[in-house]
Formats: sequence, C-alpha cells, structure tokens
Amino acid sequence: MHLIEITPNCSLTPRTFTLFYLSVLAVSLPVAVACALAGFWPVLPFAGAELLGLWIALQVSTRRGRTREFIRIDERDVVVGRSGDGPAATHRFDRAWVRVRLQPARVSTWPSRLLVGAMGRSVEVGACLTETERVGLRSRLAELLGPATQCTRW
Amino acid sequence: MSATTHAHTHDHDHGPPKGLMRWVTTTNHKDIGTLYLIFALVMLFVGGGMALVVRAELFQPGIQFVNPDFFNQMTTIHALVMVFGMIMPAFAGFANWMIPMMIGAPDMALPRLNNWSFWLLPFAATMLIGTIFMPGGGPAAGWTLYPPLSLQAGDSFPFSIFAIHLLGISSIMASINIIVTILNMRAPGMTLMKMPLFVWTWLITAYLLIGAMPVLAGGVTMLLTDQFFGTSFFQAAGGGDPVLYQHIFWFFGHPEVYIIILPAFGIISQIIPTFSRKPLFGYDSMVYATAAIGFLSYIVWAHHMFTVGMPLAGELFFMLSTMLISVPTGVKIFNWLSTMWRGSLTFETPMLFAVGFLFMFSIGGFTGLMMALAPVDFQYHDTYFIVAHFHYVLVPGALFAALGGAYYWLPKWTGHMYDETLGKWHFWLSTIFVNLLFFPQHFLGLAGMPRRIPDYATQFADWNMWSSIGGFGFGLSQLLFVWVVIKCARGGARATARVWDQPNGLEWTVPSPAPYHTFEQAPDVK
Repeated sequence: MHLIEITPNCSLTPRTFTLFYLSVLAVSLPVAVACALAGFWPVLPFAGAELLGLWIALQVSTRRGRTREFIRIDERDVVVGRSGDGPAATHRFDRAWVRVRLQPARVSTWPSRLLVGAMGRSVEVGACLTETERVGLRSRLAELLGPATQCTRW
Repeated sequence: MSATTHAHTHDHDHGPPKGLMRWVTTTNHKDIGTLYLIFALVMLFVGGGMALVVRAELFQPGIQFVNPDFFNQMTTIHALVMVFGMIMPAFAGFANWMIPMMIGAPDMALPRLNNWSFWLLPFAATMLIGTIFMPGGGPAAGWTLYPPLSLQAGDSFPFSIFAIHLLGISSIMASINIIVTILNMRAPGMTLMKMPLFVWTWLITAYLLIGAMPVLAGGVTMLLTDQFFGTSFFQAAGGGDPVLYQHIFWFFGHPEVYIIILPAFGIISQIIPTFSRKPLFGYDSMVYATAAIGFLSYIVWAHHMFTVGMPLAGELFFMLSTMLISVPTGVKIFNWLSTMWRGSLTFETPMLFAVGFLFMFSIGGFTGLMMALAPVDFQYHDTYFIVAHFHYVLVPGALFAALGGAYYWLPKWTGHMYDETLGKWHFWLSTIFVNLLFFPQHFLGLAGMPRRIPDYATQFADWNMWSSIGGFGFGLSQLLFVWVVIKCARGGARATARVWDQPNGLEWTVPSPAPYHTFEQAPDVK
C-alpha cells in the first residue's frame, strides 16, 4: 500500500496566533473600555466587532491550513480523501479503472487541475500545490499506478 | 473518517470570467491590487482638482471664483478624498500586489473579503463626493469634522458620515486580510525577521488601523447621534464637551498619519538598497524603529490641540512624547543614508523619488519638531505653517514614495520597462513644483496667514501667487505620470524577471509580468 499526504503551507503556529491576538487585545480593548468609561460607549461595539472580525479571519485561515488530503493506493482501490476544513469526504475508485488527468486551465496563466477518477467520476487533488509540485504529483501517481492511467480526457 | 461519497465531475474548463466581470468578481490579489491603484490614481486627480480650485481662489486676494462656503467644502472634501480615497487605497494596492509575492504566498489569505474591501471604495467615494450636489452642499468643517461647526452642515451630513464609515470598513477589512496573509501565508523559511521591510511596515500599519479605526467610527457615530437622536456627547448645552471630540478624533488621527507614512517607509526601504547595490543597513533596527513609531503614535495625539487649554503637565507630556518620535524616525533616516553610503549608486526614476522623499520628508519632519514645542506651537497653530508641514509629509513624503514604488514595480506588473526619460522628467517637474507649491506656505504661516480662508490680506499675495503656480504645475506634471503608465502598460522594452541590477526579494524570482498565480515552483527563501 502507498499513501500520499498533501497539506497546505500554514505559517501561523497556535502560539503565534495566541500571542498576536493577545497583543491586539491589549491595545484595542483598554482604549475602547477607557472611551466607554469616559462616556463614549459607541467606541466599544466598533472595537468589539473589529476584534471579532480579526479573530474569525485568523480562525478561518488557520482552519484551512489544517486541511489534509490523502491518496491511498492498494492492490484493489485508489482512495482519495480530504479532512480538516469542511466535511470530511473520501472517494473510492477501482484501481483497474483509475485515470489521472492534468487539466490545463482555459487561460494559460491560471493553474492546472489534477484530477483522479474513474468511470465518469473524478475528484481534484493537490489544489494547494504549486504548478511544479502538481506536475511532480502526477508523475509520482504515474509511477505508482502505471503510465496507462495518464490521460488527457476522460 | 466519513463514509465514501460520490465525487463531482470536473469536465468544465476553468479560468477567469472575461471582460468587465473579471474585474467585478475577481479574487486575484494582482487584479485587486491593480483596481486599488487605478482607483487611487483617479482619486488623486479628483482630490487634486479640488486642491486646484482652492489654489485658483487663493491666487490673489479677494473672492474670485467660488464663494467661501464652497471653498470650505473643497478644502474638506479634498482632504477626505486624499486621505481615505487616494493615499490609503494606493498603499493597499501596493500591499495587494506585493505582499503575497514578497512572502511567497499564492494569494491573499481571504480573497473574497479582498474583493469586497475594494468594491466598497468606489461607492463610498462617490457618496462622499456626491454630497457636493446636495442641498446645503458637502461637508465644509474641515476633514476633522469638529463639532459644533460640523453639526451645522446641511443634508449632506449623514451621507458624509456614512461614507466615512464605509471607507473605514474597507480599510479594516483590508488590514485584517493583510494581517492574516502575513501571519499565515508565509512560505516555508520566511520567518518574521526575514520578511522584507515593506511587509513589516504594512503589518504594523494594519495593527495601527485595528487600534485606531473603532475610535474614529465611534466618534463620527456620536456626531450623528448628537445631530439626529438627541444625545449630547459633544454639545455643551446638553452637558457634553466639544473638546472631547478633538481628543477622540486625534486619538485616531495621529496613528492615521503613521498609517499613511509607514508603508511609504517600507517602499523606500525596498528601493534604496536596490539602487545602492547593498543590503539594507540595520534591518533589525529598522523593524524595531517601525514598531516604536507605531507605539508612540498612540501617545502623542494631543499635540494637535495644544491651544485648547490643557494642564501644563499634559502639554509637557505630549510635547516630550512627540519629540521622542524623532528618535526612531531618525534611526530610519540614518539607516537609509548608511545604506547609500559607499554604495554603487545609480539614479533611475525610483531612486530619484526615494532620494527626493528622504530630503523633503525630512523637511516635513523638522517642521514637525518645531510644532512639537508647545509654546512655539501656540504661534503656528491654525496657520499655513501647519498646512506646509503636513503637506511636506504627505506629498513629497507619502505620495513620492508611492510614485517611486510605482516606477520600481511597474516593470514587474506590466512586463515592460517604462520610459526612463519621461520618468525623470516627471520626477524633476514634480520636485520643482511641489516645492514651489508648499515651501512658500511656511513663510505665509510664519507671517500669520490663517488656514482655511478664501480671502487674505494683501501682504500674503506674492507667496500665495507662487504657491498657486506651483500647485497647477504639480497637478499638470502628474498627467505625465499617467502617460508613462499607459505607455508602459501598452508596450516597451521587455522586462526581465530581475528587472534591476541587484534587487533582493522573492518578487524578482518570478517572470515579468508576474504570472497570474505567482509561484509555479515553491519559492526558495534565502
């Protein structure tokens, strides 16, 4: 059995997340509270909304960074799975019928898409990779599944 | 792990929508960066046109072209357009274009939010400018919107407040996106202390925006409730205090000055090492100096209001803390000069703008130090000396840095070299006229000419005439910039990936123009 795992780059560690957010809180919250105590309470909801917005944005981005894709190849099946951001999903294909296709974009400057599928169904893998890495992944899959699996159309 | 599900088919082609919809729906950081920059350029001419109305009226004593109320609308909306509609979006455009490329990211962290933060801008700016045509005209109380004067505006008042809210929301969304991008999207190996200075300055700028913007939003909302909902936050008759609005406004307003100038520092820190063919001198100290400026910007606000009648201890505190800012700013100036020292200097257009920035921003910095002295500021307060000071910081300071940055990265954006001769003409004409425009205003202010007046005593006539000639010359010179940009976008000598002799940074490792999705190979951070 062969297992390929793909994870997007995520440079924000939980520690940096906490430290950074606390540093923002340490500036914004005292200012807003001081304004509120001086009678200027309308500053507080704006500061709260903004801090909430920043927290949500950091959460969304780091959750995306926890996305994991895997391609498991055994003698009978090829299983493509995804977990982390959004509902987990797995797609099982009969290895004998599996095809791998690197679909170029309509516009040359856009990234290609690497599709794994069989019998009319397909799933995209490696969307978070660079173009070179995606081509490398296709070559690796060709190595593992055999050159006959490479195709230009389904 | 969940159960197996059916996969979707992916037979359709993919790529950006064509025509206008590409620009409306785009989530690509380069497209959005381009939109920001074009918008800022348009606003430069809109806000500049208003400035020329002001300068035309001040060309000679007496009332010539516009009535005093319209004159006040022009000064007010000129300032709001230039601050919120021009210079901040311009630097947001640079951030969109360059930050992902500089840190090795494929795009901004939150691309849809990015699209939204841009598209709020044209509507907000249109609403703000449209107030001119409303009964009673647009806001005319100055960009600071001090009550009770600002509360005497006509129907335009709630619209201008709403426009300011929208512009603020756009800035906040952009800064949240920039923070998340810088923190979470850096390529492997791109540690915080390896980030280009431009990225660092934007991280601290975004931090300042997060801290300062709610105060502005709260302040203008309180103006609105005072006007329409019977509150008395700033109305003395109801127990409020208009001076407290000044504290609120300037608690936002002073960090805002650094929100505008820090990205300019970042651009200059990219340009000078390239054309000095040396690494930036004192990178670490530049980062710490930027952070120190950011911190100090929160504790100096009342130097804008020395004359309101503060306790002596307050005046001393704000005087000394303001002077303290010159220390980290001086560190930056000396580091840029040390970078140039014994460098293999060449003076292409971006470097000319950078050197012009260094020289003229320092003039603005020194006059700032003069005004930091509370007893002396009593003399300068509300005179043209103040106008000269902040325009030296914002025009040959921030705007020159933006123009230098545009020339520096234009080949990377378009894939073509710009016309160097025209670029140099643009620099020299801009430099001559900007000094003709603003330097005489120092003399006017020292001689006692108040700001925000459409008519003046004849003793101020000569320097006002020269200033107006400088204003029109500077405005016309910017048309040359538009031509250089159009010419460069349409063609010209092919730009190489590195463009310049010894540039440093990941953006120079990708082809020119930068591919729509920047990195086809994982960036190699050194």
